[in-house]
Amino acid sequence: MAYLPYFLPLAVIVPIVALLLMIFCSFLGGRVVRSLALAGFILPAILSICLAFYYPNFVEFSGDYAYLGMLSVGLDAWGIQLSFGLNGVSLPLFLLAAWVGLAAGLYAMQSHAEDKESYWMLLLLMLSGLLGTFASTNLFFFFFFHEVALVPTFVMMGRWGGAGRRVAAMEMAIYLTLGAMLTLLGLIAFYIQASPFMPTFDMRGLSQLFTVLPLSEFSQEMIFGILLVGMGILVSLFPFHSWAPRAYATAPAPVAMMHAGVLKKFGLYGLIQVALPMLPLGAELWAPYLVILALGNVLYIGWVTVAQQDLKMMLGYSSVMHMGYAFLGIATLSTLGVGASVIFMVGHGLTVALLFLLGTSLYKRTGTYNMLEMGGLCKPLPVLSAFFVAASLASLGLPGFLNFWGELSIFVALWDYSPLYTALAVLGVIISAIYGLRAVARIFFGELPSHLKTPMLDLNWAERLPALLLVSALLCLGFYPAPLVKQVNDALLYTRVDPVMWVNPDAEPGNSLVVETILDVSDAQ
Amino acid sequence: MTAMTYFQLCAQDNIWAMIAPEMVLACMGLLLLGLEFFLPKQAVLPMLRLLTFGVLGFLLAFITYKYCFIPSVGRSFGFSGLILQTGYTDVFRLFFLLNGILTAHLATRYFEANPDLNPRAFYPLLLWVVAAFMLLVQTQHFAAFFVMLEAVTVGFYLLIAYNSKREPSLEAALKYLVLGALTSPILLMGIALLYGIAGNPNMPAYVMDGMSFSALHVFISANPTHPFVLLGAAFVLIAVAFKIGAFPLQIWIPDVYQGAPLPITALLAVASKAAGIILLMHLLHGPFAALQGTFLPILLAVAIATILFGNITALPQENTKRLIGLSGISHAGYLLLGVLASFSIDWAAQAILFYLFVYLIASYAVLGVMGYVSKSSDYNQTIHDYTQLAERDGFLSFVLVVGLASLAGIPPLAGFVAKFLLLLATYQAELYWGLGAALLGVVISIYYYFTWMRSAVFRPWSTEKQIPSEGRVSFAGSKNKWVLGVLTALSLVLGFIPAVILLL
Repeated sequence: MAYLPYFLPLAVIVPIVALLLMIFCSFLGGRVVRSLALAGFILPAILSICLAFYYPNFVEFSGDYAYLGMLSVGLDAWGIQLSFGLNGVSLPLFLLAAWVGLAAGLYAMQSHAEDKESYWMLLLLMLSGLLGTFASTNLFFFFFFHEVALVPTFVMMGRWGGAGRRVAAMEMAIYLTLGAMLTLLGLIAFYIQASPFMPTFDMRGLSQLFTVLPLSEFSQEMIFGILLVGMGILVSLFPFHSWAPRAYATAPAPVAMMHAGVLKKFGLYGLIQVALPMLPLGAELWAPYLVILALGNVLYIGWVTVAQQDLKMMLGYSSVMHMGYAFLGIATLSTLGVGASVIFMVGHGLTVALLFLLGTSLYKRTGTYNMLEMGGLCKPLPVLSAFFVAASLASLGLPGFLNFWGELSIFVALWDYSPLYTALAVLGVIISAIYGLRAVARIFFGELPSHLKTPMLDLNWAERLPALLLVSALLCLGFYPAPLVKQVNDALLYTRVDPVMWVNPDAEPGNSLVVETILDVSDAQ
Repeated sequence: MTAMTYFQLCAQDNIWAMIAPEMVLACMGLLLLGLEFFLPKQAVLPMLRLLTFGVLGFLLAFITYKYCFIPSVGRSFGFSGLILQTGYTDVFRLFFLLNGILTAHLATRYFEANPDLNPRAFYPLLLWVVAAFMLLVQTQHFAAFFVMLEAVTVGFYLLIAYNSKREPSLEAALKYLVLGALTSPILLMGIALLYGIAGNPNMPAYVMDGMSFSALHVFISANPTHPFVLLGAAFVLIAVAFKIGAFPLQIWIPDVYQGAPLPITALLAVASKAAGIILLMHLLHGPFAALQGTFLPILLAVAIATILFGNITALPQENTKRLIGLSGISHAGYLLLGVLASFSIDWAAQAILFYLFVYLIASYAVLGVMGYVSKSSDYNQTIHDYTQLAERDGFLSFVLVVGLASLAGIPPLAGFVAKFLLLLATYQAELYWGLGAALLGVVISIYYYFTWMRSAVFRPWSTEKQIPSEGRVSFAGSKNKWVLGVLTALSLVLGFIPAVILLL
């Protein structure tokens, strides 16, 4: 038990160690390299499960960080240390990163890409970045690890991506750097504001400092605005979304799984973990605008999604659309809404990864992403179609899948905020039902077109395994989300994302109970 | 005091041991020139290389040892106040020695690709330029300052024209000569103005030695608004800005960088720029310290213009050497912001030095790859020559991607930490416009750095593979590539563990 805190940095470093070993052991032959890559994907998942399992034992008081540890990199004078820790908000996302990383890695292991070794190495680097992002408690490394993924993503899109990748990859790189630079500006602003008292980038230190000495209203509003636009670009908030669908459509499946499933959550996570607790007044100013933009994601992008005929473009747009719900949850500024947003992120990450995986497997068999050229595939591909239907329904928010709890709680929280907006947001569910079910109908039902009548092999086990991992996670957490939700709730109550509690710390956080109530229902199910 | 005792005192002040490394380099340069008189013809060239790398490597090891294990004596003046050595002198020396050794490494490859060139004069010239750089950043007196600056510049006139059989090299040298010859009198004029006004007995706090930095510091602090002082200081700064390539004195950079032999492009891009920045720091914190407030808005405008000009003009650029030059202008702009921030933030100087080292590492890695990819004449090498480099030589493409990403300032590479610290200093010094320009510049720079990267690593979409015919590209095999490997590893390690900054 005492060694458990070391698991956290270990999980972040293992993929990089595996990568280095792959380079230096390449003379030992393909099998060794292959098993090293496999170990690099599997070990973080195992470590993260251990961390999650023993998490309650390591939390000193409700809502605090566990597994804290720190390493100096020589920048202590600037308040920069490599410090890791998990709280109730980062734990689910850390788990998500490890789990989707495992699925993406397994999927990449069976692919027939050329130059597979470099492919795995870049994926491992990306995985390390993902895990580090959510494990870091220092704003510098929080940003650092997120950006680690940029060059690997770019290179992988270029070497193993689909048509149109030259433009899509460049657009993505520039757009993401723009978002990242704005985010960096906002993060540096925290440091500058804190430096007269305590020059530090440490999230916990800053959070405590700004609780005692809140920032001026003006700086709060400015910083929140900068962070909102910067992170909004990274999360593809309407109208900064245009990079996302094309990038996902051209990226190879494991990259799309990791990027859309996990990396994109960086912005939302940053808003929840950094911006809301430290900038309550800024949040209050910007929340009404955020709601409008988020509804833009849900409704406008929703309609755009309906118009897509290319399966991968549709998946890309639908992932952009669903980000709107996550933003709506955050914009309510209530413990319930923000917590729901975290749960939704986990559900969405698993679902969208599954969909990209299945979409690519489908392409391998049919040779096309155009849904009009497909049909009747449930007969030759029963397992694939079962998975796809499950994933589509999860994406709609069918009860039993984790997405349901996320969406439902977001709507409940939003109702308190504005019934009109809730009605509009619920409309989005109908839209996603239209495109989701229509895609299922077009691809798997109806007449099998003549050019697809050649015999097709169903999903093999190498493809089924990652899909099973994702579906089982969705179902397990869908039926029993209580442990996850309890940690999220505790952390959010402690960091006080709700401005009401900010003004009056002793106020009973009434709506937080709703989460528990809903979850009691889920327990009973 | 008789004349004799005066000369004796001066001679006693000349502690030659202070500039032993520079003396060793200069003497070795002379020895190299005479090598062919007493060695058989076929032994000259290997010996030349051996001695060049030997002396640079020896000094590098010696100064590293001295810097790390022998406690610094603090500030010590030498040669009647012509030079001043501080704790940083050895850091600067290491920087320029590294430049020298890496340039010599690039030159090895360059002369292989250009067998018609005679490399005999190249190595001595290189050693002298490196020695001049090392002395230049120690000068504490405008007489020595001018002489050393000219020594560097004259060395560059010759080195840029080294490939004298090719027109681009000559054209570049001529351009550098004309513009260099234009800035030298400006510098002299500035020095003369300062000397004249500082020695004027009618001025308050006039000084006897109006060229010594410390005397000028006293005088300018007493007369910070006198027009001659401002004009003189401005003229001196213009000459330094020319070396850095700050807007609007950047106009020579693309042409000269393109025409110069590749190793000299590297030396110009890294060493010349670094020397300019270090001199600017010395001047603005030394004799011109009282003028900081006056020059701050001007320099800020210059820095912003430099960043934007460099990045925007680099956008459509396809010629790799011009691209290095134009993007180098933007790096000079970021460094200028650091210089401005150093007026109010102490550690900005550390950040600047760290940036310089990181820039050195990344630039030489990229230029090394350019050397391997180049045809015999590299002045018209474009990013299209890199098409599918990853298929042809995976290692070189890896070095290129890491180097470019470090120049672009993307984690986990050292370039990110360096840029981050400079931006942090800029923000803390409340230079918001500069910060905005720098952030915008970083976003713009993604386009051209990633375009280059894209050319190297992306596969063409068409099914038939279009590898450029091998005749256009010559690879030198794996020989000496370990240098590139070391540079790449340094970029990565310094990104994750930038602790070396504590040594600066």
